[in-house]
Amino acid sequence: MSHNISIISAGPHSSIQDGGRVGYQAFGVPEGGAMDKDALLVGNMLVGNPASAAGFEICLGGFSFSVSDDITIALTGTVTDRLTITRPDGEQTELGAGKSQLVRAGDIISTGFFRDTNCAFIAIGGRFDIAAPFGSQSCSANAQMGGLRGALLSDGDQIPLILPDKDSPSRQIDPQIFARKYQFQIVLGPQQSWFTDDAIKMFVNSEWRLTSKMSRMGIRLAGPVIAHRHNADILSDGIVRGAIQIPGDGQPIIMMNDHQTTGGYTKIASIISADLPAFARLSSASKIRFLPTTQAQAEATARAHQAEIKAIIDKMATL
Amino acid sequence: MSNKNSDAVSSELPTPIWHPCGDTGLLLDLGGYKPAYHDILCAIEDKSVLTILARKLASEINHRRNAGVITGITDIVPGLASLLIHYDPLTITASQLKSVLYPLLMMSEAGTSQPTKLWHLPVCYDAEYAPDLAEISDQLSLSPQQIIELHQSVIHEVAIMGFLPGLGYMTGLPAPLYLPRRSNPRTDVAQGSVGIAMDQTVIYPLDSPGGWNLIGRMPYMLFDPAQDQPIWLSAGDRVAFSAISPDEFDQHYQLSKSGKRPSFEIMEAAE
Repeated sequence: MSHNISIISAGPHSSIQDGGRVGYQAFGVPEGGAMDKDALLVGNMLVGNPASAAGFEICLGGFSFSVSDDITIALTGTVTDRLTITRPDGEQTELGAGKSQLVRAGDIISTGFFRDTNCAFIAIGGRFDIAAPFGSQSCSANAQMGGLRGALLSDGDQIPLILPDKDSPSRQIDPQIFARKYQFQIVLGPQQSWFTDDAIKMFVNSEWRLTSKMSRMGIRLAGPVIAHRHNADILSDGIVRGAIQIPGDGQPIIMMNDHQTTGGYTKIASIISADLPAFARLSSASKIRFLPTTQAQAEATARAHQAEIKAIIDKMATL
Repeated sequence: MSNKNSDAVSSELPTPIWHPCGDTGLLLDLGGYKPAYHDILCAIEDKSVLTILARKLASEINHRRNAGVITGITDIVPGLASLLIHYDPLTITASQLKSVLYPLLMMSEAGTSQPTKLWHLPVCYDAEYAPDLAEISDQLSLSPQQIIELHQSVIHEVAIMGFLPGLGYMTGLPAPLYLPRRSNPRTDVAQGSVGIAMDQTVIYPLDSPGGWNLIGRMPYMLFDPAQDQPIWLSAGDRVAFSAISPDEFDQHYQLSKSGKRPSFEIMEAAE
């Protein structure tokens, strides 16, 4: 008998995501993967999966699905948003963030539209029985790769599932680790010298607003125009996730997981890796500020952040 | 690791400069940011030499990575006259990486050239596959036939890969064909479309938006996830284009759909 998850409502921007593709950017293959790496890791720990197993990344919400079997699920990447579980007899219960729970065959699990986060993650105990091009099941829709048919999830999609050997116990963590923040550390460069000192000051000292132009490739910000010394065109070079590109119009674009692997526009700075999960949770119209740090300090922050996540996982309570 | 070559070479090329890319990337800028580079069409000779150097370095670093000599590097992406090293800050720091890579930078000039592939790519330049040919014919003051002949008259080189899986930015376009990208990019460019802009040619691996001037279509799949090796083009490869008829396009296209790749020959390194 086959096991599967049926997508009832895919919502505006939901996709299958795991830890992403490592090591193929030289061929133009985007890294992809869950934008909120903390939500991915903690979610998978809650449902008893390997750390990078694939689940559902839900942007904005409006997502619902049913399950063919009893499976363990968990919602992460938010503090206060919740899942609603509807039994076949109509009885409804809620599941808050940071808790895993066994849902029953025939249950319908739905998100509503998020209030607290832009992007949440639903971990699914077990693994999707789908292809993994370049070692990952993650959907990069612009590259038409991964997920089902290389596309975002659609209403009616059936995702074959391989069940775990045994059910995982219900577990819980404090979801405060998914709290919103509005200040993001950056490391200036690689092309900071393409900007006047005044432009860099303006970039660092201004408040920035997230526009509605957001996708898994990039998120556009709006604020004062950041002027280049000459122009915005560079010899194309490689791009990291979190890089802040400033094209000719002087308005920043943050490179997210499906970013192009190389590009020809100046990059004034990069958001540090420890802050990227929280950045992915920001809704459009959020107002943020940047705080410069050094590469060495950012590396130390990455290690401290990892230790913090590990401590939370170590303290995970079994209910 | 060994640093026996660290004092061996004094280079005439510009001193490499490292730039931070957050806490997960180090960009090795081989050219420095020269004012001349503000015009992307300037200094093409320099750019080409430094881009080849970037690829050689990438290959040297990859060898050591595969041998387990260097850990913590997650990806290496050659750019035009630059090299981006993606790293895992939980495993290695930028400062450690710089000292590990320093001896390699010093020996890179002496590195041997690898043989490269020369791909023979058929292109149908007929009007139905070349929506911009008539318009750029006016812009360039060349007939469509002259444009097509010039495009086939040289061997192009894949300078870097990027933007989409399997997409190579190919340099070598004859100067009379230089022109900017379209001011109004298309929302839907067909997979296989051959576009030119600046000093480069690209072939779109997938249906996608795009702003390049479309002069033909190539029938083979640059990116086919159904194959064991979904991507066959890589940075450093050479490409020769040859014109085919719409009928021949259809034949090649059918072959392509059954997994066939275009033909190539191995070229020994010229240097």
